[in-house]
Amino acid sequence: MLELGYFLQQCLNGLSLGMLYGLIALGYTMVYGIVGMINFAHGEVFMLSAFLAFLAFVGLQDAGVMSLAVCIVGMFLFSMAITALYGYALEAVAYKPLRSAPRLAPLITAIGMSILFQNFVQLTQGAQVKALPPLLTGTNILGMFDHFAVTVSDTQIVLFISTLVTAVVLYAVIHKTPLGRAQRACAQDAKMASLLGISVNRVIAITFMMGAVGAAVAGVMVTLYYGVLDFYMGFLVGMKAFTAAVLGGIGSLEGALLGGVLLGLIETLWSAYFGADYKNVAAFGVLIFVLMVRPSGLLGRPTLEKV
Amino acid sequence: MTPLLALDHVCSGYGRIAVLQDVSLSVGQGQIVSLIGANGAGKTTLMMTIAGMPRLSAGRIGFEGDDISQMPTETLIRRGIAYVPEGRRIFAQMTVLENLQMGAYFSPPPKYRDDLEAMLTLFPRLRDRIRQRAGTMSGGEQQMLAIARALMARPKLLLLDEPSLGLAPLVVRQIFDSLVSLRKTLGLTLLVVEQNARLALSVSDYGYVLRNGRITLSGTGPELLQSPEVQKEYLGGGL
Ligand SMILES: Nc1ncnc2c1ncn2[C@@H]1O[C@H](COP(=O)(O)OP(=O)(O)OP(=O)(O)O)[C@@H](O)[C@H]1O
Ligand SMILES: [Mg+2]
Repeated sequence: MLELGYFLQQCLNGLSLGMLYGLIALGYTMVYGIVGMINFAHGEVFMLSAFLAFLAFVGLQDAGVMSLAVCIVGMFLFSMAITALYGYALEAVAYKPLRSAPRLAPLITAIGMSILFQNFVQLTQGAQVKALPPLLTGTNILGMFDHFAVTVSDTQIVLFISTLVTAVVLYAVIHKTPLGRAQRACAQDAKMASLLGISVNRVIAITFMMGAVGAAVAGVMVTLYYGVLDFYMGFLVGMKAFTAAVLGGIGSLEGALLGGVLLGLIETLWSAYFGADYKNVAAFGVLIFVLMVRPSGLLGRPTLEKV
Repeated sequence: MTPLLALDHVCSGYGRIAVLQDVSLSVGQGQIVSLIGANGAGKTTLMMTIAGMPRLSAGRIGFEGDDISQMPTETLIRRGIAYVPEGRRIFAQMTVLENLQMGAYFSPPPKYRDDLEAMLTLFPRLRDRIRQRAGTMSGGEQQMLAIARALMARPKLLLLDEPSLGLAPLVVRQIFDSLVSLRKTLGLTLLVVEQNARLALSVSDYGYVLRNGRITLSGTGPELLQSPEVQKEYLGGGL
């Protein structure tokens, strides 16, 4: 149990899980950073995206598409597009009418929307678990350590690449484009941004859609990686991803990924060495410890200047 | 000729708090008009009501002859009204360049490049600090940035709310001089709220005095400077 090979393999698996958390955490952190609120229905958006990926796969199979690459690309495009629309609708229905309401109000509508999404999927897709056979079955041996082969699966490679691409694209949009400037401006002073002609409502809607796209990448990857879906999967994963965002420093994109990876590693390594029973206790324990030492999270910066 | 901006019997306030009552004023094309009044008279409210936040509760605001009183803020701004708010409100976490780019959000790139060059020539301080985070600049530099940001949109009407706040008299003079020259070169029209009534009225074509949400006096710059009420209350006694 204490061999290096086993340890490295668990790290790799933890990294994969962590990237899934990180992808979802990106949505929490973006919405918090730009709109200043926690979108507690984000976990359900992830759940919806996984089902959409599943439906896309079934649809493509029915249409007779044989190529696996086409199938996977199709799942990504379909799930990302429709999930973005769900993100848009969620914001328009549950949050936009409450823009100037007390802070607790959108929390309640978020819970309402979560239940709505869960029941909607339960009704339309059934309550039983949906399972998909593994699509990408290849594994690659990275190295041998005392007769233990450390492997990385093709699914993991797709996951690493899609996570990095998503993170880089979101980062580039926020830091290098006019839209991103408008987003950062709204984050600092939304009223002033609208006095410069920016449509704050549109900026917020786009932010929700961008967060939903990150969740959709995770949804597709969960479908490919685990292949097991149920209508309740968004809750715990959403909580974990939110934890990851807070751990990394909410508002920071890099922090969301870092927090996700840390959480994935802790959970996986804990399960590997001490059994899966208390893995969530370990994960949330680390969160509490980090917040005691660094209340703004690992990469979160305490707000320096407020004019 | 219809004035560029005309307020007709405008009432406005915050929820149940009425601030402006029956305010009428007009600003002609190419004019500099100043608005003076004590703290809490409603000057900022008047400027913000023109920009649609808060929305007026009665009356009409005309811009280039059209009724703009129900237009969303974004639309009015895109039609050519720019606002330099009280207390600057620059984006502190963004660089000077990014702040200027925010002002030119709707300009096509060639226009933007020319305008940026013009602003950096007008305010050379900003050129030296172009990559600096705006929040780390001095108050005066931030005020210059707020004005430059507003001008980047090539507005027809510039609303300036206390541009001299916290600035050294020399800098205030420079800013006013540049505004007066911008009026000539860009055909800019200005509505200025100013605590420094003497300076504002001396460069203004026309002025209004606001007291408790009502216009109590109006006249040309020299007329108001001569008026006993203005002298007593806003110019700090004798000359
Ligand atoms: N957001 C708000 N909500 C409620 N009341 C407000 C709000 N903003 C301003 N007021 C009130 O409206 C009145 C006019 O305020 P306003 O800011 O327009 O004054 P001002 O003439 O700009 O004053 P100053 O010279 O101090 O800037 C004040 O009595 C103020 O308390
Ligand atoms: Mg004011």
